[in-house]
Amino acid sequence: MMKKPSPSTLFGLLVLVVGGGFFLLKFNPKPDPGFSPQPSFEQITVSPRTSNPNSMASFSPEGTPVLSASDRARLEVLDQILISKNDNDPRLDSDFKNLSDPMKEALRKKYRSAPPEDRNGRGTYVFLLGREIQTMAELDFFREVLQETPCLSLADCSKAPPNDSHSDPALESANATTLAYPQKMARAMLDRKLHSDETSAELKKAIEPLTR
Amino acid sequence: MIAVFGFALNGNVAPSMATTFDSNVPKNIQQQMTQDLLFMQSVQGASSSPLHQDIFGAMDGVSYKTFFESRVKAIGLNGCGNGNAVACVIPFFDPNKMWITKNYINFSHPEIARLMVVYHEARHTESQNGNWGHATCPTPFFDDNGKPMTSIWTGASLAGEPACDVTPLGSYGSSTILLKNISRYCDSCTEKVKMDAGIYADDQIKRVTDLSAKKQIQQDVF
Repeated sequence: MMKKPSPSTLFGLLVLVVGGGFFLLKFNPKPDPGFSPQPSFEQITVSPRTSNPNSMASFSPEGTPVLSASDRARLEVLDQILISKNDNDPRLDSDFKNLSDPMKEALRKKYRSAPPEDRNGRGTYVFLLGREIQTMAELDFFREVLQETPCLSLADCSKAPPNDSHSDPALESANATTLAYPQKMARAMLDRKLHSDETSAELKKAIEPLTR
Repeated sequence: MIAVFGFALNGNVAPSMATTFDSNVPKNIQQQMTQDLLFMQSVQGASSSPLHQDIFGAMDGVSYKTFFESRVKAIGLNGCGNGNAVACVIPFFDPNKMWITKNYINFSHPEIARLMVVYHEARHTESQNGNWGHATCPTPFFDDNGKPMTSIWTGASLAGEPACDVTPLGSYGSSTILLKNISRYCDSCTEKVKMDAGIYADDQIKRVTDLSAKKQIQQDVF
């Protein structure tokens, strides 16, 4: 015959059940399907729970996507390429396609943290992201780029160059394009996406106003 | 240093380049420019437009190397009379010498933009063609959106300034043709280089203000 549990035992069991449930909720959060994380760069780390370092995104305990080891390696490669100033490095094509969502977020953060005077660096991030536009949410970044305060000079974006009456205007044409290079690259990549047969009608409709 | 394709008693010779650098050109600028020119020597494409063939020959690194080295024998360091310049040619001083400034590496230009400037200036060494001197920009001078074309350095209008071309073969025209061909036909270039070439070509053609000359370029390669 089964013995009836005492009140203290019942209370202990109740504590155990409630405590266990709390534990599970805290350390195994269900990702919010509407969550659009904006993690700090420090939060973009290799997931310790990922057994395959080349796997796609997994989530941190806080629900933010994390970079895989391969993505982190690719970011280091990109840094090296930009330092080298060799825009014809073939890895720009071989290593930076089919980007994961954390990788795209990392590139956006790279853009925002790059000095404004780093026109080629910024334009490169825009190029890589522009090649991978898949969702309408990604267009927010391109709107951000297109709406930036113009860079006034290549030496210091916040200051117009010294007024030099002896300047030769024929020497300045490349500078003029480079001042607006990230924006020009953004428009060029959006335009390419707009005219691609692989782009959905819905996405094209969202892109079109940005190309005017 | 003795290089396979060039030798100089004074200055430095970069590998696979016959053009010499003055010894006062900083090493990092020499390295960057050498890297950029070696990239041009690697460019390959199965096609090129008729005007490209007239000016440069086939889309082939050897053609680009020959074009440059037959015009520019030496590279020196000079401010070019303005703190914002990247490179210049001073024909009355030395018609076959190109001067580059520290902005060559200080300014964050894409690689193809640096090369556009270099090949633009190389065209100015051609004494037999009057150095392809620039034409006076028209008055008024508007861009495609109807906005006045102004100097980014002085803010002054470019109308009436010697900063345009009226021939497809001048410095603006030839560099436009070069870049647009790269954007369309280069097989050895990354997608970024090709996109950059297109972006800069689309801006350069705005300085070709003679309608017939512009139309000739557009029909050739745009």
